Amino acid sequence: MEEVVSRWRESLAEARARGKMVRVVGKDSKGWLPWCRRGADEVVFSMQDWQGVVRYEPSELFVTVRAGTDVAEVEEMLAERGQWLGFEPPPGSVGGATASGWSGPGAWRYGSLRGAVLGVRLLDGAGRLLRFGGEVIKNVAGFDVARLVVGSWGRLGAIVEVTWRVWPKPAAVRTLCFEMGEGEALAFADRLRPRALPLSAFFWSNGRLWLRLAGGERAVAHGREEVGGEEVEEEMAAALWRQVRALDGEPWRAVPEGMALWRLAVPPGTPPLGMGKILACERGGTVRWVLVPAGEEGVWKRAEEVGGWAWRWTGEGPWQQRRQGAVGEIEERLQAVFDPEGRLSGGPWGREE
Amino acid sequence: MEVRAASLFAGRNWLKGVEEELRRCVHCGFCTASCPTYRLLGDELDGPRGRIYLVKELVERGVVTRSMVRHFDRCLTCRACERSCPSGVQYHRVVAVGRAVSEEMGVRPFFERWRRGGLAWWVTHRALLRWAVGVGRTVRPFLPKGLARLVPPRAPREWQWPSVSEPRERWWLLEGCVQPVVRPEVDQAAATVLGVVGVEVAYARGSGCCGAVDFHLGRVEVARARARANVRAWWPAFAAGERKGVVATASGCAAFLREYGELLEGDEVWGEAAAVLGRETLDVSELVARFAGELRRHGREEHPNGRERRGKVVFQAPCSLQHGLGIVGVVEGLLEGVGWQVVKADDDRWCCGSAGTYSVLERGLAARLGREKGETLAATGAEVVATANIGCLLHLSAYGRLPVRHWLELVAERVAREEERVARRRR
Amino acid sequence: MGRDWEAMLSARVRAWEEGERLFRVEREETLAQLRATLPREVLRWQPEEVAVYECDGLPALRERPLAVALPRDTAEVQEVLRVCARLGVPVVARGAGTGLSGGALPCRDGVVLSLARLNRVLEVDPVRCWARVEAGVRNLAISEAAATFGLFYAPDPSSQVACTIGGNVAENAGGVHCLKYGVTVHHVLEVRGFTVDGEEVVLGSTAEEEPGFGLLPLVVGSEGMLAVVTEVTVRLLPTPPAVECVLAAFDSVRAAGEAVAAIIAAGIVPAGLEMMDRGSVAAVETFMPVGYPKDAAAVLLCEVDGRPEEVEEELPQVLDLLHTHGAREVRVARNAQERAQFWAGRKAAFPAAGRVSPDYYCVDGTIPRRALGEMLEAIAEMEQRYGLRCLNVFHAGDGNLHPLILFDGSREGEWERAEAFGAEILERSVALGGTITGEHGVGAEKINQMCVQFSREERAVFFGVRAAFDRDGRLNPGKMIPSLPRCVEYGRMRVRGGALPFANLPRF
Ligand SMILES: Cc1cc2nc3c(=O)[nH]c(=O)nc-3n(C[C@H](O)[C@H](O)[C@H](O)COP(=O)(O)OP(=O)(O)OC[C@H]3O[C@@H](n4cnc5c(N)ncnc54)[C@H](O)[C@@H]3O)c2cc1C
Ligand code: SF4
Ligand code: SF4
Repeated sequence: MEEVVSRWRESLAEARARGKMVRVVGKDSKGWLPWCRRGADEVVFSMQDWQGVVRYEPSELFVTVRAGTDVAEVEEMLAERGQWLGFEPPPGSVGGATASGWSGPGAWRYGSLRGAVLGVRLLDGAGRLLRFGGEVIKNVAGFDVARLVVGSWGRLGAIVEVTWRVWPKPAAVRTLCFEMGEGEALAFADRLRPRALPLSAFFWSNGRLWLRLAGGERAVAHGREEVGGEEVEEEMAAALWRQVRALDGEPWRAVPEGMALWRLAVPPGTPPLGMGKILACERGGTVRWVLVPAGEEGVWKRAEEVGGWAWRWTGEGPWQQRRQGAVGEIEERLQAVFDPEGRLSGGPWGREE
Repeated sequence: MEVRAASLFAGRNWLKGVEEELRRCVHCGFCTASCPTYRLLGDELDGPRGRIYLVKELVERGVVTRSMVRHFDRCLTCRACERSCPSGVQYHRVVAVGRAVSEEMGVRPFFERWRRGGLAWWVTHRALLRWAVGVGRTVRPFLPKGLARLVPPRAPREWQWPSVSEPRERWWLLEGCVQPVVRPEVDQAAATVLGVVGVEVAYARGSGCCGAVDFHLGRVEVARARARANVRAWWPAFAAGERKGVVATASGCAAFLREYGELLEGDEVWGEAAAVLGRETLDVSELVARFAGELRRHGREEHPNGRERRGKVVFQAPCSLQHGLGIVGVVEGLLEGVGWQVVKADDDRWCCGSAGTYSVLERGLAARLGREKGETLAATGAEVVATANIGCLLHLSAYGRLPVRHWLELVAERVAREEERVARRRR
Repeated sequence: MGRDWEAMLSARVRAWEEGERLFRVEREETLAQLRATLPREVLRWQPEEVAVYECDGLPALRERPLAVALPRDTAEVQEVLRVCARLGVPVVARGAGTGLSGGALPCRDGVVLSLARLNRVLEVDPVRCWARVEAGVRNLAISEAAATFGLFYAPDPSSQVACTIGGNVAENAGGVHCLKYGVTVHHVLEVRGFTVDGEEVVLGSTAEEEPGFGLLPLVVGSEGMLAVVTEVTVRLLPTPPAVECVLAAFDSVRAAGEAVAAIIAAGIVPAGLEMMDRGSVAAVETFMPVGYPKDAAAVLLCEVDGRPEEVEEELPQVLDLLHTHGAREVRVARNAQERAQFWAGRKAAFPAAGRVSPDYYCVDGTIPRRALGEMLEAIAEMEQRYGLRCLNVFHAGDGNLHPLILFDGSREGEWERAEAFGAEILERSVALGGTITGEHGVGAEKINQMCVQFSREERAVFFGVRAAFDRDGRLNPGKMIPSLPRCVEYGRMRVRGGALPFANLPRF
């Protein structure tokens, strides 16, 4: 640990000396995203070598891991004991997944990565090594800084260690496929939501809806009968979910020239947005991927109208808008608590002057 | 909670009891959720925990203020809070001390004292009340709406006391104050129903109002005098084994009679007798329930196969019955026994707002509670509301949309019809 | 040892004074101003009127506020906050006052802002599966409103009949079903309210994710120190169609603990998994005879829910595990009514302690489940040492312990002894890899133990976070985050008392 801490302090000192910013990277698996491109004036701090599982107690339902560890490695270890990360973090390093705050398809059932974080150790912009949260599921001592850090993209510091909650792996998993359009799929989601079904993932794209069921053997069998659909072969299904989880594949990586990809988070029950070309819907329709002509800025407003928010995925930034008013000011002040000199860079919000 | 009583109260006979209750309260706040006045007013002082705190203040500082009294006044004494208190605090004892001491220390302005005293006097004097109700009924069409509501609409019918040949048991029936004037049918129904199963009831000469009205207004000495008079009237026949005890057709009175022992504690002449009689007091539902098996055949004509039920009734259990006496489900069983279909209303633990003289003294709150209760009762789709206490009966009639009866009346009608049928067949 | 209790107490008092000195306001003057600006129905200031607000569910800590404000709607809340901001008066928000850590303990020269009158359920949406409610709505009232649609609100603290959703958000309340369903933070979508200066804020989003930093989880569990919450949107879940509840009696607490570990190890995540020891069972049985076996050393309640097939699969497994781990008696609730009774007993367990003792002090440490046996032995030893009885109630599934220390506040020195007893349990929890509070919050009560769990730098970050929302620290001052002098003082005292030899153990 000392080694990482002193390396971090050195990077900060270097940046200070040369008037630069510090950017934290893990495995660089998100390097393809425009806001993860490194600027010329940045000192890069890598967590890549800070690896290993610190503690894993299957009966306590948690795992504590160093930030540079590969998510896949953690999952393998869990699988041996019949457990898994229900929220399905994106591939890459554990720290990177936590800093991005992304969750995979399983978040529909198990909640987001933010909810699954029990504790973090953080090196902040003032060079302090801090620990928040812990290793127990119930813990309300102090402000929940551990979850504040989730999704901060390195702006509040470098995450060095994370504790995640884990779940027993469901005995049976099955994926069903339905031929239906966007509107129909969204209406279907509205009907599914209030029902006690063992659903674990929802993904619609290109005229097809994929539903994943997970749970006890018999519960899944019954659920399958209740919802109908065409059963998908196991391997193919696994490949599909892997792709959705990694945002790997056509909708995300092959954006046509002159177009921009947007991700909208909207309240459940929101009808089709009728804007641009809809590429995919996730998590019961609360996440929408749409393609609009590059330079079209009306998306921000449209998202706001339906009570959600937008995230530009390609092209030039800012890729996300900072919140306005009192909340925006609070965010700014919070950042100053962790990064008093304003040396940390990262995240889709663009850089403040 | 810890309590340190002011020296002013040292040696007072109520002190030990109230200290015990106060110390039992752990301030968890569970009770607040079940309190109707807290729900309406949203100030903890208008909830049980706050009122307990006020009494604690009173006991510790020896001071009573107008605002304390106001919060005591707003309490319905419905005792819903007691039922939800895991720590077993007997709230009604606490508030009784608060009321009595504040009455004693005299913080009310003259007009209020006069109004409350006057109300107690009117209500508990049958002759006066009868006259007032008579006048009220005559002028009812000309009265302002608020007042007109409070005057019972129907004139009482003439009725006869049924004679029971060779009774298997004999009981005193509490005559009470308001009920014999505005609804003598209730006691008639009691006599009829009990008569059918061979139980004879009678009023005792010299007995009267149970004293609850005065007691809840903080007029403890008047209440004690009434209790003494009643015990004196009942005791000889009871002691001689001629009467098994006292039965009351208003659950509020029954609940109060149960506490006669405490009320007359320390009374050298009647204290012990009061305690014994208090224990031998029943709400009429308890007595009737003892013979439920015999009554049940009386519903048979209504539903020959024993399953089908005729008539939908919703039973609004008075607080004194469900929270005070802890009698739950008994009346419903009796009504079903004679063939009524009993439906359940939402929020059936809430007070209707009547609470004795409360409906007059705290009109605004009482009316809000009464109207709400009226709506929830109507929402059940029942054709009639049954209750077990005269105060609730009048209040629900005033603010609700459905006709309201004492459950005894409903049972008595079916029983009487059945008796008639049997008699006709014999002929 | 008497010295140390005194020292601890005086340290606490001093710290409050410290906090208050910042806000020493001209009482008469301020009150006059408040009375001039706020309607009479909204303000209480007479001594007996504010008395009941002097404490929450932890009556050992008391302080009378300058005034109590009871706004009737959101606009009035803002009005009260603006007036207080203008006058520089500290504000303490209050829900139902069921908190167990003195979180709603008033500030002597401050205003208590009660949200109890904001008690309307604004919307229950059966398609989007959420409920929008005002902050003063009771936890149980949400589930009751949702029940008609076959939905429910999952976090169910034992105090759910009375506690408000605003208070739940402030404390990140847990419940008896949170092993499977999670705690408040997992079920709140959006929170609306005001900063202490009366500026409106919306945190979180009904779109389920929040853009930017996670401010929603920061405010959830912030003990009313970051914002005053006026409106909350919570997620509703479909009511599981099948539920089974098992009651098992054990001859030793350790055996019961092992059964718990075995159930989880078998890959079952029960909806609820609760344990009570002999003393708490006896207390509950006097409140409502629900039929807990009184002679058992430990009683375990285990609930499994879900679809009928799931429950059918899991229930026999659970029964089997209970038997093989030495359960003496295993009873499955025969119907919904009996199940409700099993739970009613458990949920009334704390106040039922009032039946066996005038006062109780509820401790709230969380430990890794495996350390349960060790902890219980330590507590048994402490009972001897402190000369006080302790009942044990736990959320066994997640290692959240609630030792109930029985004492009599009217006896000289007993509360101080109980407090030190509790402090030792908490510090032992930290040493075992746990935390000083699982769900009741730090409040005024565990503020000293924060010095043990967090470093000086971490505490500095907490102060910073709070200042980001509330520059002067006017909202609920003196809670949760201990000042440096306090920690120095407390550290010195602990070294002298020698109660804790393991202060330097590595944590986490
Ligand atoms: C018998 C008993 C059992 C309990 N069981 C549990 C349990 O199982 N799980 C559990 O988690 N807790 C439990 N508790 C503790 C308590 O009920 C919870 O902490 C509850 O969330 C407090 O809610 P309240 O409305 O009473 O808040 P209060 O006690 O009034 O306030 C608590 C804190 O929240 C703040 N606050 C309140 N409302 C607001 C608002 N609108 N905006 C901002 N801040 C606000 C206050 O300032 C204070 O800091 C129990 C308490 C009792 C007495
Ligand atoms: S008796 Fe009724 S009105 Fe009075 S405090 Fe109790 S619940 Fe409230
Ligand atoms: S429920 Fe009982 S112990 Fe709790 S506050 Fe009310 S009266 Fe006191």
